[in-house]
Amino acid sequence: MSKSEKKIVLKSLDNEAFEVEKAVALQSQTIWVMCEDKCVGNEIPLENVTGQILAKVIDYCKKHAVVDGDGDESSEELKNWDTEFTKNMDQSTLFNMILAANYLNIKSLLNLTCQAVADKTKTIDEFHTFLNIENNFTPEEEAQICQENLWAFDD
Amino acid sequence: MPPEAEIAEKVYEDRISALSDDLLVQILSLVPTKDAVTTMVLSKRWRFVWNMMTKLEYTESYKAEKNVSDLLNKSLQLLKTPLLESLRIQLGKQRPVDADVVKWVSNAVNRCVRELKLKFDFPLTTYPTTTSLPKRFYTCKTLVKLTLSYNILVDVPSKACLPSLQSMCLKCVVYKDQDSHVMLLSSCPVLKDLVVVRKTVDNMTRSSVKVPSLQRLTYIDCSADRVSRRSLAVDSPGLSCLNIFDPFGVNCSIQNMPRLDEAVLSVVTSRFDSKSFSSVMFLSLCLIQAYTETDYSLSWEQPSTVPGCLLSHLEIFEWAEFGGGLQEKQFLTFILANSACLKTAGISIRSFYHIKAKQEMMEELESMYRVSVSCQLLFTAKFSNGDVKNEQKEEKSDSLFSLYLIHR
Repeated sequence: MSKSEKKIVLKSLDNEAFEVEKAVALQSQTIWVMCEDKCVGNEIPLENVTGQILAKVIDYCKKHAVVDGDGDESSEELKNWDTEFTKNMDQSTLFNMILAANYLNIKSLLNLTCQAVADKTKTIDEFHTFLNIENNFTPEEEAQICQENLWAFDD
Repeated sequence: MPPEAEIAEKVYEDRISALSDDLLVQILSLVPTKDAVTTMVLSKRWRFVWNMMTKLEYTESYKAEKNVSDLLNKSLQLLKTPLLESLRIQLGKQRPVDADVVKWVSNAVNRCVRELKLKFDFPLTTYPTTTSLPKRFYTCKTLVKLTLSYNILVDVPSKACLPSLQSMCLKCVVYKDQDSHVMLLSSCPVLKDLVVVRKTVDNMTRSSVKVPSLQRLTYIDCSADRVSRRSLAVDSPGLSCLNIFDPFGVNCSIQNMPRLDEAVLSVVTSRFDSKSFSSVMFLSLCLIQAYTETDYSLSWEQPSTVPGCLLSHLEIFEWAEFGGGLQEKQFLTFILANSACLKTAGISIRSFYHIKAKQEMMEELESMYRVSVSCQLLFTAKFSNGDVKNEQKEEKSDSLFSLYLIHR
């Protein structure tokens, strides 16, 4: 395999191009399938991901490709890196990352980002504040649901 | 739109409710079940999302709790998903009635559960002390991973069959009788990983692990019960990784393991079939002084021929708690003089030696002839406690790569 064949270009929704190692990109099952099909050239258009998010996805894939390859870093270090990676992501970025991981079909990244949301939302209040979910039940409807499901709320 | 307004809108946007059901379910599955079920009051979008969860996990915490039986009964009853990925229940304070446990496990089995993890660690005063699982559990076709811990009675019916089970952990459970453990193992035709941790009284004297498909076995028995004379027999030819910690066990028989490549053994008097270690690449031995033995010195006889594993394979040799006795020195001399591929030999000298005596001993060891010119001799820190005696076992192996000895 020549050097150029080892590289692949990923093009974001907003036409930002990223040249990455094939091994990095192929962690995405979606890209893997596209490459297998051979209907695409060396450039893969990703119509659902913006450049800002794609850059982060590539960071993640680079980190994980290196570790899988030569096993230099311990799984502990990788875990810490993962924690740092999602720690300070704002809500909007986090959801875009979930959507990107889902679209690109990168299972470990999807787990990581879903876990980051789950970690921040344990109580109903946290769901409302962190996730900005608007309660569109009437007070009567809400009271009825609680009444019918005492097993879920009765502390 | 001015940039500030754009930011403000982003902050107050509800992004999560726009995700697909699948993704919402995936997020909810990572939240403890008792919290996940409360999302039904978040908004209309969320009213029935939790009903599609495929992983249920209930862990009792220290603070005041919801009634766990109610919570599990209702949530399992209202669940809409036909397939349950996992059910994990960890209880300590609240002891559910057996009928409830039967209900939960049966419900999971009906939903083709793939992973089941039950940890019932009730206070000692609880009666009855153990909980039984429904008979149908022992014929679950879909179960892949199983963990049972503490106050659970393993009572295996005669027609037991767990055809998909690959990984099983039995931690301090109680067996109905001597045959239960054997019957359970023989009902798992594709079992690859097995972890068995024994408690002091579990109705099993002879433990036998005879599973052709087994690849990794960990067996831990820390109970200092020397009255019941427990024994362990391992006869699983597919094993590649073996870890036995049985410092008080009376009899341990290991045989027929042509594929073994890693073994960590901490055992007393043991019978090893020489063929068992013929392919091992990593061997750690911690052979423990039986209480009846009074001779604490290392007994070693030089073999008539040099084992092939020393001549062509052994690269790493470590000896913890080197005592400096005559036979120990002879053994070390033999290793260093014959291990042609040795890269490092790490030795920690017993801590009770005075610093000067240690210095002299290190000098003496440094002066020993090493056939491998590139071999480094390293003196390392001491290891953990225990009455340990070493023997040489590496001679049985053809492909040994590293050998760790602990001698105390």
